[in-house]
Amino acid sequence: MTEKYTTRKGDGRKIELTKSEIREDIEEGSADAANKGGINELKEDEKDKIVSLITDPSKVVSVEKGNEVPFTHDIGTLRLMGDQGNSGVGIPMSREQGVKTHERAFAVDTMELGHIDYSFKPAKPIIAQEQQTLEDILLSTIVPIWYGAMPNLGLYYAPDGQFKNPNELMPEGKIKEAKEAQEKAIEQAKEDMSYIAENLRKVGLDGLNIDTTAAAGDPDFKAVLEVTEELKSNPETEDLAIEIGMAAEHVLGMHGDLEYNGKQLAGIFPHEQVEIVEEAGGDLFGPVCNTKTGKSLPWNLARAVTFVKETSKVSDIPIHVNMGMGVCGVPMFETPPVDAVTRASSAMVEVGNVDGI
Amino acid sequence: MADNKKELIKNLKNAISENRPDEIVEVTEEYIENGYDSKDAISKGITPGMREIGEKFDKGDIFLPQVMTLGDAVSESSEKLLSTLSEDSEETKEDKIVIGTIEGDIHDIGKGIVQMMLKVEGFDLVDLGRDVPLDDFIEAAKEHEPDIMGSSALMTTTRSGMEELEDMLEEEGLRSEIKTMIGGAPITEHYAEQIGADAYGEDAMDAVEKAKNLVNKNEG
Amino acid sequence: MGMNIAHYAASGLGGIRTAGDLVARCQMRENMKIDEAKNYVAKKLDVDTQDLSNVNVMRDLREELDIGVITSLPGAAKGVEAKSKIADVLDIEIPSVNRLKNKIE
Repeated sequence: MTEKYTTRKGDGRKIELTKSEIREDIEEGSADAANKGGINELKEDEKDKIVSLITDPSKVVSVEKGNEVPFTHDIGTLRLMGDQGNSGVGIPMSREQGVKTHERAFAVDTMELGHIDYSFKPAKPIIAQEQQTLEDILLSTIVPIWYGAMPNLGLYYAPDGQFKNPNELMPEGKIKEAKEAQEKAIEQAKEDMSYIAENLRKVGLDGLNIDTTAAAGDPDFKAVLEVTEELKSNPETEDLAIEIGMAAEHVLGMHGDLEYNGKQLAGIFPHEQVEIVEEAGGDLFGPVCNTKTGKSLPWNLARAVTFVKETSKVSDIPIHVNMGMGVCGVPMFETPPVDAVTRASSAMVEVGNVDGI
Repeated sequence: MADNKKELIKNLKNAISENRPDEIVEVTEEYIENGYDSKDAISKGITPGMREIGEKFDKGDIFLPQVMTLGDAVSESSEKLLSTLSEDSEETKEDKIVIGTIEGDIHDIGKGIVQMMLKVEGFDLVDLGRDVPLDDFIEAAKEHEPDIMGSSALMTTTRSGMEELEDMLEEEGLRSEIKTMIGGAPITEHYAEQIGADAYGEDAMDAVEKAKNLVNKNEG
Repeated sequence: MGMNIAHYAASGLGGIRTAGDLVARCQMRENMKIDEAKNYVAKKLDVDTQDLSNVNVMRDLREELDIGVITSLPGAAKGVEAKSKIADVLDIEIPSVNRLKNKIE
């Protein structure tokens, strides 16, 4: 009887596959990325490496000693304090306590301060509180501190925001109006992000983590690129490190005609995104590849590694791949299985050649 | 004559798949003037053309505003073709979907994309918006008598509303008449099976395919 | 929650247990890719790159250089004091350290 290996589906459930089925899924996952992104498939030895990680009987697998990489952490301290029934575990503590817990107990290389809503827009009116909390944290901690938030252009559209909602305008055939609303939202989001970055830099912030970029499509991405360029050409903020982390593997064309330096933003994949991020002056890039819940871990991982390896190859800035719930091979499950996370983590470092996670 | 018909169907399909909205209606009118069978234009021209557009959207080769503009032209073309069929013909019926984001959840970008793609595919859409109380879904089910009820959630905290909605449709005696479809970041095929939903849409194109399957639009 | 611990076990440098914060700073400040950042830090600390994730080496070295250690150690540099020494050891700018210096000058 052919030996079966326990692995996972993209939704975290246990499944059993034979070695040849695992290899087949890896072939298919890599081919899917290659076809979608117009890039090369993984080489045979790279596929072999993923097969060996997946078939390893250990619960936890790891990179070879000496191959470790540093991590940036998004979502700030919300994973400890968050109590909305999501990924947070609802421990009542201050954000300063949260940062110190990460530094002292969880071996983090960098840590992040973030507002409970984790968007730039709501942080603007409470900037003095963000500044003072940051000041306290910078005095008492050692690791580099990011301020993290989402550009979240959705907050600028009705009913939350001041501009008409493109999602409502487009089905009515008001394409021009929808695009105008998006263009106005870009300008307002830039103003808000810039205001927050400048004020936090004044009190000594190490870096700005612009997380889930392009969640609202190409207008979201354009706002982030342009504000990055502005911050990097402003003497007050030019030395602020900027990490641009993405929301999905390709930029949704919600507008379709937006460009940066003559390059169309809609529809581009991680290896193309990073080149534009570099042009804008981004210091670190966080690519994303979505996990398909109906496919296996080997399929998802091979697909994600194929995209990320190409991104690492073409990039001159460090790549810190996003590896949270439901991205880059990690199953879409609130408490992702340790066996799947450690396999995904190891493959990204040793096959995807990332500079960090 | 047969060659001309074939040629026109091919032109219709290409006008759609190559995103030339102006040509779509033009070719349709010429086809109708020649008295050719409208059903062939729909099944061999519009359907494969839209399938290619769906693939292009999925790959990021075509974007929402273009799809919407194209969708308007395809709708006009479909209406013209359908008007030539007898009124009691099955093809004249538009499948209706009521769609909304579950109560407590204000995320509607994904739902918006699904909604637009469904509209382009010829579904009759009733959008309840976002943060929709479950009672409003029930009211809409009674008022609009949809073929499908679609709900979305971006958070694990709000997705439980989908299960409640299934129960409420059952209690109201509406469930057997309506197919249910769910989607959103924390939703999986397994979750859909667990709560008894009829379909799960992994992304916009998958949602369209699943919706078509639910109403047998993919047959033939 | 918990996933970051799994990632650390699989591929993490180890933060201030080892030299993770130092490598991360070089990436952030100087856009260094992983090998360049590790080589830079190892050279500044006068250790092998393999030792950057070796707790046994880094615990003592951090204490000796007074750049902050993970356990409670009376008298050892804490917070911004440790960062000011890191800035010197790595020869890089740290904004919060510069801000403090500007305040007391």
